[in-house]
Amino acid sequence: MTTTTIGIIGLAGLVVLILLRIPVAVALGLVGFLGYAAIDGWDRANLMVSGVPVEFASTYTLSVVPLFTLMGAVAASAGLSSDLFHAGRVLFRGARGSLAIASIFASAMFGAVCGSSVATALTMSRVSIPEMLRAKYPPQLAAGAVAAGGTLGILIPPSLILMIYAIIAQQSVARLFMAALIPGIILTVLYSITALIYYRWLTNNAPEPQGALGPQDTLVRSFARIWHVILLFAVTLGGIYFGWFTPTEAAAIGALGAILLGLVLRRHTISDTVGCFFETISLVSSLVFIVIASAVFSYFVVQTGLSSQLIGAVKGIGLGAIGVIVAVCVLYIVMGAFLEGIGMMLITVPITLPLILSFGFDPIWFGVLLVILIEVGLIHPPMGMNLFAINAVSKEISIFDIYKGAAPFLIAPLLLIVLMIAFPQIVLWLPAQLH
Amino acid sequence: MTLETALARTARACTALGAVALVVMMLSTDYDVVARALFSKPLNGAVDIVEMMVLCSAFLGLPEICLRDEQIRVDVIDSFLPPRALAALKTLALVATIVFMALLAANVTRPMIDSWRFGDIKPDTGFPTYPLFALTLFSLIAAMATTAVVLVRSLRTKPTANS
Repeated sequence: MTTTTIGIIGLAGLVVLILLRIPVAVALGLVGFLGYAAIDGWDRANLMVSGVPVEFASTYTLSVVPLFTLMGAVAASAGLSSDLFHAGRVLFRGARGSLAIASIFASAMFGAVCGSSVATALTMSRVSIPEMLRAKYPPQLAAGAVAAGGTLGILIPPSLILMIYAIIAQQSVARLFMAALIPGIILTVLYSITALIYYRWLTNNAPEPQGALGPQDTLVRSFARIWHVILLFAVTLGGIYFGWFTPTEAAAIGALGAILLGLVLRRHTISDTVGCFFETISLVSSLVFIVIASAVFSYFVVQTGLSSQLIGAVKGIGLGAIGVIVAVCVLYIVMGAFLEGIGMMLITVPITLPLILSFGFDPIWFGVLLVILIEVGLIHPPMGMNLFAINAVSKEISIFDIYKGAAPFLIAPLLLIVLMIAFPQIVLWLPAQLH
Repeated sequence: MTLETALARTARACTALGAVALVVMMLSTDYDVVARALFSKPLNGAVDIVEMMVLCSAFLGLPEICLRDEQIRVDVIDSFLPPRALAALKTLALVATIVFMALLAANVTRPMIDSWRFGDIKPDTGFPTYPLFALTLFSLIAAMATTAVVLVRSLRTKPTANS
């Protein structure tokens, strides 16, 4: 049996195991080990596996994951979401669809301190969906805006997915964070425009319902209530941008800052803080276990030579750079219908990254593209995790309405991808300015 | 106290230790930044401390995750399968988890012994590296034990439409 055949069997076996609900880490690790052993023998496979756990779990770069996760957990526990939503409502007061736009704005701001999409969707659905339903918004618009807004959590830095990508693709976390910022802002605007058009379409351009805002709800007062979120974002991202801190240092300062601000402002108690530490450890252990297993799988993929064969095959059929990127996008969108985001990234990056690099694309640019493709998977059926998160919190909206509501918002990330392909500087300009 | 309760308490204690490691990681990094900026005296070995603590916080959470059966997985197939088939798949997943962890645990032993024999140390702090391998081994064994508890529990439970 050739190494290519072993590689293809391994990949197919991996997808089957994952779909048979074997934990992603276990499937990656077992397929990686057995595949490596089939190519190079048991002794070498054992030797390869022996170094991986300690080597990969004790890298300095990996430390950004627990520290930024802690910052996000504290932000979620401190109930920042309602203040952010209120500020958004005041900012967009009077506009048609203002509650949906405020929800997207609040999600973007929340994403600036929390790197998880599902956490952002869960938090925002508790705050903004009841308000929208009270104001007689169509339920599908309420669900769609929150589902789409939630995806901003993994694009706007700090992003958990970008941190994992940085580790497996050996790229700079700082450059990736900076690269994702402008696309994050553009996507926020595109989602807001979608919400505006969708509101007009669903309500036949009805006027915005009278809200509960009074004359005392001024822009200055509302933003004064979220100064700590702005401060945290400015210090962490600003510190990285100006070269004051490494990403790990920024994450440590952000995490401590979030804890202290939460305690001083009485947003949470010591016991809440302890809970955040426990929650972070649980999440980080799951993630690091997957990273370790994906390293085993990557060694196997390298041994199979699948990437170089794929590059040869793609160049052989004369597919140009744009053709390759379109094919990769289609592959990820299809896979996103069945696979969870991090798992999908860890399975595919060892194969797709060399292909993308061979066509002259930048690995930082590809990292941001990958996150946007994962975002699409988060809001399209049947595996859209954000849709399930909303369904779990807002029982009054049927899953069918949630699916229907999220569909128009899929246009925004696809449009952003087209913009990124046409103008790569959207992604690459800011990292080039890093101090 | 039953074996299951003892394992649950051990798993909780491991998570608590992981949380302590996270506190140490955060505070040592913060101290390093402040001391470097204000007094030009960075914390010696800050990178070593962070690297060791990230390993502790990553592995010490594993036993409790396995006990709660909270590993990241794709469960899209759940709604299409009858209870018995689903229960069989859950059992298969637990067995596969134990096999993979056993594989990792068995292979961590050799570098741990080598590290102890040759006196490997972290470059800045001079801290020996074999305890890191030992902690990894301990966490993997504890995680295997807690996974075994879940496996036994699931084998005793009769599959129902809601399980």
